[in-house]
Amino acid sequence: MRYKLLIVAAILALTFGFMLYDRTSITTDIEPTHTQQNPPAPDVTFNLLNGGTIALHSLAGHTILLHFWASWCIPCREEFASLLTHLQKTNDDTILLAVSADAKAQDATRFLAPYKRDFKPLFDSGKVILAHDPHHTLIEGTFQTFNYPETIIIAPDFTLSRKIIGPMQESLKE
Amino acid sequence: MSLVILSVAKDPPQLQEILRLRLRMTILTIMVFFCFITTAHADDFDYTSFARIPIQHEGRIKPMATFALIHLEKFSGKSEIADTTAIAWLAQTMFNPAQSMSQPLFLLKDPDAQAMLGLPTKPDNRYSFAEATEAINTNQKLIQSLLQIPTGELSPGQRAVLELHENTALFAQITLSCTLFLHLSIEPQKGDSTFIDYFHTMPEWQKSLQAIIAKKGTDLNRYTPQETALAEAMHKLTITLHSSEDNTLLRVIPPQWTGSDAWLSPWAIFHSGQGSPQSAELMQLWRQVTTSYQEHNAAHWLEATQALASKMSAAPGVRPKALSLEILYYQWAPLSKSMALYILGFALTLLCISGLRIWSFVRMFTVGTVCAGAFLHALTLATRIYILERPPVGTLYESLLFVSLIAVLFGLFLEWRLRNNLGLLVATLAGSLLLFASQSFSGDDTMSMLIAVLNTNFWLATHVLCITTGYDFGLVAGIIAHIHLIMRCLGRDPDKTRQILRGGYGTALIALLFTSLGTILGGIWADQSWCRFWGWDPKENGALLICLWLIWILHGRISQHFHERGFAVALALLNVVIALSWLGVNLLSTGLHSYGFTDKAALSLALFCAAEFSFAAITYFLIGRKDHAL
Repeated sequence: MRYKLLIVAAILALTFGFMLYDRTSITTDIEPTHTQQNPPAPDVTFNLLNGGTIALHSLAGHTILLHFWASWCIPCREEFASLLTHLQKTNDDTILLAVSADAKAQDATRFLAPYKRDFKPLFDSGKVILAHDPHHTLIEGTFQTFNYPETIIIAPDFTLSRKIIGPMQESLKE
Repeated sequence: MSLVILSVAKDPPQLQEILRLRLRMTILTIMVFFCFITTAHADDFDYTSFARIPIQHEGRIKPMATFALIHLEKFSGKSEIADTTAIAWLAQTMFNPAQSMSQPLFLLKDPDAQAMLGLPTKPDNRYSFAEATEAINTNQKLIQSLLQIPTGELSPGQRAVLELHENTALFAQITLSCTLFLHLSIEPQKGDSTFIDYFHTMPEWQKSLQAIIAKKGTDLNRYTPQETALAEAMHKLTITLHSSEDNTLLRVIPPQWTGSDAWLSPWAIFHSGQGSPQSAELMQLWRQVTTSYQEHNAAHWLEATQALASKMSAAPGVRPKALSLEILYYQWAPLSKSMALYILGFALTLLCISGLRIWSFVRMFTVGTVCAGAFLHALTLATRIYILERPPVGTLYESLLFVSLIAVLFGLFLEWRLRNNLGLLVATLAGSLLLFASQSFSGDDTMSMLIAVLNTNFWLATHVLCITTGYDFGLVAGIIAHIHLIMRCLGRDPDKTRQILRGGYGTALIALLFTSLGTILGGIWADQSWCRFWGWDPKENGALLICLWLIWILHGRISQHFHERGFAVALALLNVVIALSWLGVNLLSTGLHSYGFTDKAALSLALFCAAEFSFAAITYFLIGRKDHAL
């Protein structure tokens, strides 16, 4: 009889032990088990719109807004001014690297002309860099951007931290 | 074609809707756009690495081999077709879809369904995608009307028609999954001439086409050869683009940005903007795999698939060892071997108990056969636990595998203690019957994901294991009662049969312990999940019914209200109570235990109950007459 009681007591103890464990493990289940590290940004070189090249790696240490756009893309046209206004207002070390997907460089230059005039100090400060990728080698081949506008935020440690698909006005407000 | 070009140029959203409705019809046209360099089977290809590439399907990361097997069995009811393995068939469907479309694939056995769709009768009842699509498109109105009927009210023929409709849609998804990487036959040729090579020129071409339409109208006869080529190119690119919008089945790219655990198909990467430099590398490898297949280059294929499998093995959530084990599991099929051994063991056990003079080594051989079956069975469960990382009782199918193993092990234990063939009979009967029954509940993927409410290893390991172990001992007690009744009918020694029934009594006590404990644990789980201990849910009532039945017959036996014959019959009928509570309540499709709902096996269950009641009535009557004569 004593053995039977012991078995029953053992089963009950085991059950309640497991229940207690389960109750405590509920809280740990909903927390992330591990923090995935951001992947490094690729070390690529862009052709600048006004000639010359720039290696993405040379901008490491700054927050880079890698912005893909095209002059024929209506949402890109609409958001460009607000993007520049935002950059002008902020005094951090953010750099806008705007990569045009236009087939012809003239289309991008024509679109940018009034902005270069209106935001001259910003362009002169080097916080806005204009690049051009007519064959989409880097835009599509490396960054897998097929629809515009898209913006990849590269953290100062040169890792890819976020991607904004579509216009980024809302994200700028955040 | 001119009509399509016009709609592309003027009203893309409208075209999108038309294409969605007519995707399957269009797909045959789409395939004409691609260059298929090879028309032969890629028999000399090594598919080992391709089979190991992980894919997220129905929420689980599985090897491509399993994905191929699930779909080939779903479409054709076979794991190989025309001497082509499932993985080779999948590669062909993805990378050379035009050839797969003409192969007899879709199994449609129901003669009513064949008549409804106007399909000719064939010896093997298999139809190609082209045949099935044509039949479905001709009977669009019929399909639409069938889709309005509740599933439960559909006839078997109507159900088969809808199943074919769904399967062809699924097949269409697979054929379009790699069109992003296939060579397009467009003039002028650009780069590797895949869709991506042309994509960025589309806005410019569209502008030019609109200018041509504004100037010359829509009559192609007025166009110059260059203008016609431009119109054709835009037509091909636009249709390829729109036909791929919902193509999400081939989830082979892990999520690149935080926010979701869902993997993405190549086309989803393209459409959703979820790509990254990391996904670019994977897309490039997929492109190489596609090109090497299309060019029928076995060496490049091996290199590309190896590189892709190796790259993917490091992806988050991918367990390469589990993937390899899963491939081996499906290739080797230990469960069917185990079932075969149980059936052989049953035949040998019958030989042992037949009363014929047999050599002792036959009995030893029988024990060895059952032990080998149990070993493979246990190995199956261990493999499944390793692959799924959870207790092996998440679905009805899994619970049948688990219960049958416990029954076999208990049978072997009985045999070790009693050495009178009773344990062997219990083990082989329970093993073979339950494994056979499990085939009805296996579904498309036998390793399906758990639904959210079941997704806690603690409760699976306690409540579900406990309650299924209770069912298990209940079934074993029922089988022992059956053996007792048969032996009584055959006029065997009453002392021996009484001893057997005593074994059944003891087993019923163990069954009561586990079902009661399991039911209480279930109540606690329900309290945590649904905020109430008891809700008179059909599944809860079923579990309670087993407890009450066991309490009733055991008390009846203890208080001598049940004599030997009545107790044995009531114990034999425990199998009916368990079958109804375990499987039957899932047919009701009501209550909170919706994860177990099924409409399969209703007829089998009814037949089983009828057979059990008849058996109980006949044996009760026969034994009564024998006792009366004595």
